[in-house]
Amino acid sequence: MEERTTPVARWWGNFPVPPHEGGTWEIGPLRLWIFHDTNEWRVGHKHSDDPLDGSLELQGRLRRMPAEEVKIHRFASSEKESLLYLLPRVADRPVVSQAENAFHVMPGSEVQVYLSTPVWIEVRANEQTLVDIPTFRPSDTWFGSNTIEGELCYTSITMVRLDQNILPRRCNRAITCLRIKNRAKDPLVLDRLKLPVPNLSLYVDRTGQLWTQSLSVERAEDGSMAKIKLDQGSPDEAGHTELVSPPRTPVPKNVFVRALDALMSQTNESDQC
Amino acid sequence: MLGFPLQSTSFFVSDLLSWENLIVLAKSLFVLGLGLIIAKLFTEAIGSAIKRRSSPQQNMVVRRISYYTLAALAAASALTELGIDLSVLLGAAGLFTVALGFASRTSASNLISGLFLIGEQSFVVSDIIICDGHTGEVISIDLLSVKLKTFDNRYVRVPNEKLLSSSIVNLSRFPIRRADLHLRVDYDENLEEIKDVLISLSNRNPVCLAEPEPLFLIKGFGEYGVDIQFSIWTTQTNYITARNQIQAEITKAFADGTIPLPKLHKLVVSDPLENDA
Repeated sequence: MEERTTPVARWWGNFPVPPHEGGTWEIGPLRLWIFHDTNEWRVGHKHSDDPLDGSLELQGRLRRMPAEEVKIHRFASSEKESLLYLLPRVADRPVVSQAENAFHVMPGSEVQVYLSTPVWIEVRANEQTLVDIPTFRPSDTWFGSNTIEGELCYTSITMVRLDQNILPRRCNRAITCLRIKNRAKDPLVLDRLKLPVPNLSLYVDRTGQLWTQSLSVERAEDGSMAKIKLDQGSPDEAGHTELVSPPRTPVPKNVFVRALDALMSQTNESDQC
Repeated sequence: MLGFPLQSTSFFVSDLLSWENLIVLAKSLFVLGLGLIIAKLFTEAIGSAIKRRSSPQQNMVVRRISYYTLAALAAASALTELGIDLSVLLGAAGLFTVALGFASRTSASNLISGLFLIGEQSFVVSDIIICDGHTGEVISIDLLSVKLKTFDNRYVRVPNEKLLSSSIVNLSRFPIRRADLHLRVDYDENLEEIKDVLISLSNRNPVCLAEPEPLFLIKGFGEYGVDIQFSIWTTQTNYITARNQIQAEITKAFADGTIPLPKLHKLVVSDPLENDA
């Protein structure tokens, strides 16, 4: 297990790329090629199958695009600017964290859990977005009470860690701190939890680890409703942080009340044949 | 034989083509033309005004009712300009309507069915539906018929009456959809292992939904092996991709032996009488 204080190298920021040159980045499972040709940018990317790959490699200069089978996009531009900008972003849909083992929050308890979600990477040139791609493409899932009403989300298996010191540190994942308070008289079973990731800001701590804005969920006494609060800034546990990217979809209110089913659910049974 | 002399007819035509009558006719045509232009402009304006608050079908119906009502008023005004008494015309139209009603009862049935269809909203423009043996995208819902564009780019017109009286399958109604795949394995295979292989194929594919979970169903015991249904869920937009990718993965699993191919059992019995002959 990697130590909590192990620094994670930063892969984002400005990169000057003169014409007829390019660069490659390996950010976790994502391999990215960017080449600056005459009046155009070429971007190619490929994903490996390992979602837990947290390696980072900046291989530097690229003389031509790879010959291997890579999906390449070309972006023509009349701008002569040679500055490339890479920016980490939160996922573009909510992420349903599925607990590896059933996790119960006992009545009257307040706990703090840590979950991680893959980040997206936005590539910009001349202040314009070229691509906005995941560092790892999570599987799609449906979150809803039935197959008619619900929302399309990404899924992620989570260990639901309670101790931040044993959190694996990966360059392509952002950690979300979730405070859960169960005021009801029965245990709260955390089986599938929908994290509204697009509504959260992204921060980086001193060690280079990415964090999202933290969340608080308070289950009401009657057990059916939950008050959700988007806390200001990153969690205190992250220490000093700086803002990396704003939320994709800002929410007008930081506190809202939702039916508990809209945030967490038991695993649905598949419809019969 | 004509009932009046040719000379009288020429008088009648010359009377009709008199300068005064031509002016009346021009005024009447002007009123009709202006009325139709106003009807068109008003219809476009009302269509734009309700665009955000109505579905495409509702918008279309409101626009058509508006246009035809205004066009009828313009025609009535034009006839009044010509000096034709509308009350007499309406009286004659009553009889004519009865005759027309008998002659066009299919059209009337389609028209009424169209209104029911629009009210029921079983499908909207751009939905994919299966109806009367045709699968295609709805390109327009009109008062008499629904027009489909099939996937091989054919134009299909389905009368509303038929749509109302038969079942319609709307493939686009819900955002997610299940794809059913059928395969057969030998009786001596471990079905639990095959289930694990299939579920892991689905889990590895990002466009197959994790929830609702894939379904593994033993359909029955066939002549040549156990029939299995494996169903995955995916979004409407990824349906073909997911289905093809999973089928390709299953084929690969058959090829590399992860899922054993069912053996073909064929028993050949020779006829001894034929051999003797």
